[in-house]
Amino acid sequence: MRILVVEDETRLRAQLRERLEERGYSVDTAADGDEGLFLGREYPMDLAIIDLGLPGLSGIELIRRLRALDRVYPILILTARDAWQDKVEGLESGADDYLTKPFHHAELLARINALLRRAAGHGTSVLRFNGIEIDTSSQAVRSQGETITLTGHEYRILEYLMLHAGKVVSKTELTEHIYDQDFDRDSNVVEVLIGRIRRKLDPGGSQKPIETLRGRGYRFVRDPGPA
Amino acid sequence: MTFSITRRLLVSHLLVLSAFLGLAGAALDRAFRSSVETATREELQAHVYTLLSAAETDTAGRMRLPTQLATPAFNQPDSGLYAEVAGESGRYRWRSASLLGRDRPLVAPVNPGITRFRVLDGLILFDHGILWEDDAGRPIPYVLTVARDREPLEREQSAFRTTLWRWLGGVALMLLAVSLALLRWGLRPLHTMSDAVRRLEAGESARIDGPVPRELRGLSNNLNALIELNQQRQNRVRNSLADLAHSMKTPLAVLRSAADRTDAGNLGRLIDEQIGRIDQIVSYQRQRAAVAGASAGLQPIPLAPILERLCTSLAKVHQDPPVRCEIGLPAGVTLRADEGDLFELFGNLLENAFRHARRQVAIGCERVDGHWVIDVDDDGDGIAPGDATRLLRRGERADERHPGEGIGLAVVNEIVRQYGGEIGIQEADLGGARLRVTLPV
Repeated sequence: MRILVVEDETRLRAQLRERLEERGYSVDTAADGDEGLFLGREYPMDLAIIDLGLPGLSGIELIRRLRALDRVYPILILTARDAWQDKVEGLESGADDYLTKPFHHAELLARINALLRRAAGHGTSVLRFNGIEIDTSSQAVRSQGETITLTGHEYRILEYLMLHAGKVVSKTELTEHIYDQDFDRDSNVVEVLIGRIRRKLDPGGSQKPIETLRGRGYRFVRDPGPA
Repeated sequence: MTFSITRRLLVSHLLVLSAFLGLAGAALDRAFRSSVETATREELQAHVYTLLSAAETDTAGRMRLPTQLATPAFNQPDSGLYAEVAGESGRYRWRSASLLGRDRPLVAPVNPGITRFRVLDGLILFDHGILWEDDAGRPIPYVLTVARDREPLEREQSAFRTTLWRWLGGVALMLLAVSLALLRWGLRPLHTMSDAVRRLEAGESARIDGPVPRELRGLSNNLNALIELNQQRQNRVRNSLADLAHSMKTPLAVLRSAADRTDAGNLGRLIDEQIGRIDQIVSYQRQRAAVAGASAGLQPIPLAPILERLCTSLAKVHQDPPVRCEIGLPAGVTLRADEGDLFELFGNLLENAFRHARRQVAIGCERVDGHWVIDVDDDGDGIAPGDATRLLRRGERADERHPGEGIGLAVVNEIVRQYGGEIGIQEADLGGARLRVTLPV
């Protein structure tokens, strides 16, 4: 999951990056609205956290422009402004949620989680397909009732595939959503990670929850086939 | 004690009017009297000449007057015109026939060549002393006195006086009416001005508008400038407080973020707790200062669009589970309030409702006795009666004994009070809490 953070305060920006990366998100940061617009336009983000009081392009304007460019990923406003007119204006400009400073990281992460889940069309925090269950808020993974331990990157890939269960996800898409822009796209790290996830979820190799579609990408099987 | 301008002008008008008319009346009266007197003198003098021309001489050449005179009034008793001639050291005395029955002598000694007016017993008398040369060439002094009843003159005078005062009274009344009308017309700009000031106080207008006469233009300009200055100052205070509050939030966020780490331990918890307090105090005071309140010149603002925008925004945020918001508002509900205040008031109320609601929030509104009674209901667990007061007053204390409770309702309370309204917590038909706000229409 790739998150864009647009925040002009250097220290807070660094803290956000650190906390989000700890949770396995890949993070792109921008210090002003124009840079934020560039990143938000050029890269496939899964979510954006935008401060309203930005130098250059204002937060509201940034959100409007991203929406005008058909960037539909959830946007969370993170701001010092707590007046209701500001909140309403922010949400009407296209943001999905609003968090005022000073915030608790737990609260921020919960909101991010809920937004990502909602964006993928899931109402609850628990996704369950094919006997495999993940709780996106606690990041717990169970397969056939057994608790599975995944690394951060493994979890993110599995979560992304399950959030888009039944759809084909290309390797490029996965890479872009899991890693920030500095990642070496030619490496075979995605194949390696998918292989590890398969072994952990399905040691016997009987379920095959993740399909490989040669030349197109991967698909998490939503409903087990008749076979 | 200060009299009103109308009263001052009226009283001074009355004083000037009565002084002027009184003096004018007195002068006219006096002029009439003196003209009557002059006429009487001339008349009496003419009669004296008549007497002289009627005078005859006796054998010695002394003056003798005939019994009957050419002027009938002298011959008719009590006619009102009398004459007496005396001379020759009291040896000759002639009285006109009109003096029949009157014994009192009219003549009073006066030197020859002298004329004199007198008033005696209701008569006006004219004495004329002459020297009459007899045949021997000796000058003999005579006094001719002609008298007239005063009473007809007095009657004439009093008739004139009556007429005069009637006319003057009429003129006074007319002038009074005219000056009242002038006063009303002349003071109309002042009334307009005081109306404008009253509208200003009632909050119906933000400044003194409309045509103002030159004399009051300075005053109205100064007033408008004062209002503007006051608004500017208020805005400046509000803005700097908002800037202060907002600029504190980001450093607080950094600090909280640093303290929020699990390895920060007790110190981290302490810092986090205190940041919560600081945040609450700053937010509460910022929002309190932002309340514009019921001030002059507020336009009525339709409530429905504000509620709809707030509900749409809140529904967007509260989707776990989705909350439905029903707005039951009669058509055309407007509130004379600052738009920002309305957003804060209903934003906080609705957020509170959305946060506690299971599935539904409902807004109701009714007009009761010149007030809008607006209910914001939810289907949550409701608010325990004991907590109600604390929730409404929370901003004043901002303690951390009840973390998670916002200052929203305290801000609502503050705004409602500023507009002369009330807020109460009840039980909603939906089962949860009902926050009832009563605001004057």
